[in-house]
Amino acid sequence: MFDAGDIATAAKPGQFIQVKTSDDCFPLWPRPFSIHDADPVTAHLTIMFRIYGSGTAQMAARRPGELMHLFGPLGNGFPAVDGNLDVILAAGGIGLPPLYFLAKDAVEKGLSPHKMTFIAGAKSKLELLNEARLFELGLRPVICTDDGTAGRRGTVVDVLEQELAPRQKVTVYACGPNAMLREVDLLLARGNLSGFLSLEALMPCGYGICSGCAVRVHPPADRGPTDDRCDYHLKRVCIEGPVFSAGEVMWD
Amino acid sequence: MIDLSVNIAGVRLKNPVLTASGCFSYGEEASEIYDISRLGGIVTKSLTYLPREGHPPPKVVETDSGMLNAIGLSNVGIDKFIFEKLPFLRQFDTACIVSIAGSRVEEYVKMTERLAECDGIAAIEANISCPNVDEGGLEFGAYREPAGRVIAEIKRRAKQPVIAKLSPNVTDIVEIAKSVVANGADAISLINTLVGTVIDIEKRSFKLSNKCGGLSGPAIRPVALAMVYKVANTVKVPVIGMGGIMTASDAVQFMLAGASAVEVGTACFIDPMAPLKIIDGLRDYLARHHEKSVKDIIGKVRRS
Ligand SMILES: Cc1cc2nc3c(=O)[nH]c(=O)nc-3n(C[C@H](O)[C@H](O)[C@H](O)COP(=O)(O)OP(=O)(O)OC[C@H]3O[C@@H](n4cnc5c(N)ncnc54)[C@H](O)[C@@H]3O)c2cc1C
Ligand SMILES: Cc1cc2nc3c(=O)[nH]c(=O)nc-3n(C[C@H](O)[C@H](O)[C@H](O)COP(=O)(O)O)c2cc1C
Ligand code: FES
Repeated sequence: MFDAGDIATAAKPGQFIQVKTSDDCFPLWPRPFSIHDADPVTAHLTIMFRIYGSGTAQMAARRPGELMHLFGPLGNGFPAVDGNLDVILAAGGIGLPPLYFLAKDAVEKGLSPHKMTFIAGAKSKLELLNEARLFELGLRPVICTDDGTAGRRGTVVDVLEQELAPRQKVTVYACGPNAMLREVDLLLARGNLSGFLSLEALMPCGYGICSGCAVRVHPPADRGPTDDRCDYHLKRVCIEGPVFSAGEVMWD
Repeated sequence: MIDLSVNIAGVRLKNPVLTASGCFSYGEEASEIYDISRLGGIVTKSLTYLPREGHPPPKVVETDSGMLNAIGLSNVGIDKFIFEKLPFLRQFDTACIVSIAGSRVEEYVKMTERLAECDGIAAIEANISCPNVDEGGLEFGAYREPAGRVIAEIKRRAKQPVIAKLSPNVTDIVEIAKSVVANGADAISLINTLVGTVIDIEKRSFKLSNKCGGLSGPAIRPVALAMVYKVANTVKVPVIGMGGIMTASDAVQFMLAGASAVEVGTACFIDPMAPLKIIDGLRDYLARHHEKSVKDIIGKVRRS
């Protein structure tokens, strides 16, 4: 949890912050983390993370009271949940933090928690992120693990498929590894369903100036001639995302 | 009062800190964060005649104290720049330097002609670190003769001063510098990125979709500084130095080595406020050394 001043006041679900733990050149880039919770009154901002490499290891080693460089809130964020439709939130691994914030925001705005199906999955029980907070919101999350060590056995995509089957009008909000999002996107395309996917990318700057985070999307119909004549268009995940509409991304 | 202003080829900069091409987009994003009029100048992303999407991901990779990029010159093209980006940039009181790139001499020429009709452009920076399709994809900036030729052609049409931006991927950068100056370059900026790559040993594949990319950041600073020193010592035109400048002390090193101004690239990614912090730090350095003008430190490294 950070004392994050204006960032916490301005934060919207689906947005992220860039965190630079030290002034060192290693690692050089700041690291992006989804906003898990933000309290405009106390200016507290919470992120939740897993240790992958040097950046997250450095962050984990920091003690309460120490200073870090935070920059944000960044990115477009999720569109607000439409209470008239069934809503499924599908979180794989570290995809949980922003979807928790989205669900909390919706509940605070008056949506009944029972209108939302929250799927929280991970490879195994040990990698499940703090799902207790979901119960506190009044949600009844569907927990799943690939190896069956907690909740249903199966991937988030398997469970999503089961949950989608009886429904007609539904919007899916998904966040997790890009490989999972690709599967979710294909599932939605097959069912002709709408949804929003929050992507991951390497982010040197996080605010749109370097193009390093770009992903391939279908080119707009009115795109004129280009110099490199490619069949794709590029969008910057940090500023034109990280949330994309289902069907927008051209997966590899 | 400390005077931070400098002069580059007849263009007065309120301070010697500019943002480097490709590291500031067209200014819109940074303008949401701070008043970009405080910058000495900005250099736009390199433009090509037609818009370019650029290479597919992965386009960047972190390295020890640096990063590699293979962006592939993603840019909006000259038309959209003139109609949408330039009017935006004109609102700010900062020198707008337009970077151009091409794969043929005639592309540079066509863009220079278009820019000659525009107001609000302080100078043109010619990025000559691009593959020349007419010479088998060899970079324009790789040899004396093609580097000089493209600068001469740009210079013939340009209404604004022309800055030649040199590639460090050459045998002797001083020879290229002499050639572009002989062909009319009003100033020189250096260095562009150094070619490099990273391999993923588990997948046994390159980490960049384009295999190789350009190295930037602190890792290249000593190389850049030596090149700036050699070039500034040889040519009579002003030199703009860059390569791994993260702090004011880095900027001071480049100015002592002979740079009349500096460009800040990768540092803008790590900390959006980096250019402003560098300006403030430069002022502090000058105060500490009882200098009245930043011009007084240009090239003042002791030679013996
Ligand atoms: C918009 C956005 C929001 C994010 N939100 C969160 C969040 O809320 N919580 C969180 O824990 N992470 C989140 N991430 C991912 C997080 O940014 C990375 O985990 C982090 O950058 C890793 O940095 P590192 O220095 O520890 O690892 P690195 O040194 O960069 O990487 C070490 C190794 O781990 C691998 N690796 C790194 N990140 C991931 C990943 N996410 N998945 C799989 N393999 C990976 C790398 O390929 C490499 O092999 C988010 C990413 C984005 C783009
Ligand atoms: C992501 C990225 C994109 C770049 N794009 C351009 C470009 O379009 N044109 C250009 O002349 N230089 C480009 N450069 C090079 C920089 O302008 C600069 O010369 C180089 O990065 C060294 O400075 P630095 O270490 O401060 O970044 C780019 C650099 C980076 C990192
Ligand atoms: S991270 Fe730099 S443009 Fe997105």
